[in-house]
Amino acid sequence: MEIDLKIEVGKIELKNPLFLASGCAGYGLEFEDFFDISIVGGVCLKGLSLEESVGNEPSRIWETPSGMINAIGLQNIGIKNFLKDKAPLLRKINTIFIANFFGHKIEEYVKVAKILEDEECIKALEMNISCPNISEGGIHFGVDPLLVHKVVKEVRKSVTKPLWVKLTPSGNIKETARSAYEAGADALVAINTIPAMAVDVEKMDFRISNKVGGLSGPAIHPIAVKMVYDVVGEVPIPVIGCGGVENAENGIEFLLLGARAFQVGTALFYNPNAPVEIIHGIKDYLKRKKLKSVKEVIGRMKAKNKGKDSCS
Amino acid sequence: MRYLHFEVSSSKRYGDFCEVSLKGNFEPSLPGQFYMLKGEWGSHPLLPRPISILDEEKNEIKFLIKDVGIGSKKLVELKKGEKLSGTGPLGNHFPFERIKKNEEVILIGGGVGVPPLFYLAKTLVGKGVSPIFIEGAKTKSELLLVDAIKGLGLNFEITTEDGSAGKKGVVTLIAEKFRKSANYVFACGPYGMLKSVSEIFSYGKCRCFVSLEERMACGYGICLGCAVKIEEEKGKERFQRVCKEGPVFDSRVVVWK
Repeated sequence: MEIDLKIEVGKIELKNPLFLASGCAGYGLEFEDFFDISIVGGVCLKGLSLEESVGNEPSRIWETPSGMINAIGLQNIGIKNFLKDKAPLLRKINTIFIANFFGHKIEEYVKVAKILEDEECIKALEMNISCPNISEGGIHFGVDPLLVHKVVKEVRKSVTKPLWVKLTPSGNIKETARSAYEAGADALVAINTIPAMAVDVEKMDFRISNKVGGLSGPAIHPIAVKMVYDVVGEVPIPVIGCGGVENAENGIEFLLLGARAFQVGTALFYNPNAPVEIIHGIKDYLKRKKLKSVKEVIGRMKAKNKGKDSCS
Repeated sequence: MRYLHFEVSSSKRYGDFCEVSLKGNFEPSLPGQFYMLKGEWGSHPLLPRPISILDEEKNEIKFLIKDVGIGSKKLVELKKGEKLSGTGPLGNHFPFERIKKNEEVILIGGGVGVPPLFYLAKTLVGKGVSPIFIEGAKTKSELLLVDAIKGLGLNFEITTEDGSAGKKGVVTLIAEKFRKSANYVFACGPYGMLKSVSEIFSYGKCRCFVSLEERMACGYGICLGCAVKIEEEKGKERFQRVCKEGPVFDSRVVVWK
């Protein structure tokens, strides 16, 4: 039986529902020693900003039970260097590249988006809204539904490429999801890392120089599953699940609840072969369930979503 | 580099340390390179651990691992026949290729910094270069690879902080003697030791290289966790990755804390 893994996210056709998550996949060129990058559905590139960003002082990471906290500080080469040094190489690779980007002011988001609009290897833009807005006292864009609406709307007006918004788990995700949708987002990614902290009791100091970091890995997977369930119930646009996926089962959970695709992030750090294993695992699952297409999995549990989530 | 599954072919425990040998279809390594190693214990601890290569022979690669926390504790407890995964060889290496036979080469190691220097010493001896090896520890029982280093037949000096073996004090007491004569210095060990070594040798004709440590998640350059500040040009500092641009850096470009 021929197994069909093809899916669509809006107008973008993908060979399978697996994306490499932004921040865990560099600029898409770092995996050639492990596997052929063209096997994945898509790659969400390391977040880009208008200017190069050097990132935070070390220590930048701390391991926690089944997870890790990171505060890299959105270190990146900047949009100009990306276009000059990386984009020409990406144009030759047969997969979909999504440009993750961020700013600290609405104008910065707009500027970066406009530049990315003209780069042919970029098929969609993924907005990271988990950043402090320096124009409004440092409040994070992503937690305030009004700010989400404002920044997404401004970017939406400026570009024609599909616009994805990566939601933060902070705040009320149903509200921020709705804001992003109403402002014109084409798809939503749920979730970004969860704000977290760890303390070194011997040194009586923070484990991470930035104090706060983002928790990722299997520890956050069940939280991401719940939030994907919430977002799918809230908006009619495609949702992409992200958070702690390390095997096919984790990804299929998102798909069954109605996510159109999923992203693999932290697992790449401890198993660079994870994408190969996960794609293989999805095929096995479809065979076992006697399904021909992964589309038959997507949203299969949606009918069960209604009316069962009273307080727990 | 490759991501491989290994089986432990032997494991020998010495106190907090364990010498673990792995067999598999690995790529050849160079002294100073490392692997990210993780056993099959699921998601806690989640991340693999960076471990320097102690030695490599046909079909077999060796590590000397110290129990310093939850991840390394699991690694030192591995028994023959147990499985683990590893990514490597990773990072750059001690740049030994241009060293001439008549040049003075000093290797300075402490703690888990000793194993990669043993690999370097063995490689140098194989090239006909006879380095001076200085090993330091708190006390005699914490000295590593003493017989193996002696077995290489080179000039070997020991220091212990309590004087229980070799000269009483720290490695720099001996290293100091070579301040003017050394052509090459390679050091690996605690940060304070590396900084002191750097202060002695970062001038004149001497080329001094230090192998740095930093917490890392992936080991192959994508997580950007293992940042270390490097002076790339005069007055221009930038973060580089210990796992990719390092772990071995020219001591003169490291921005010491």
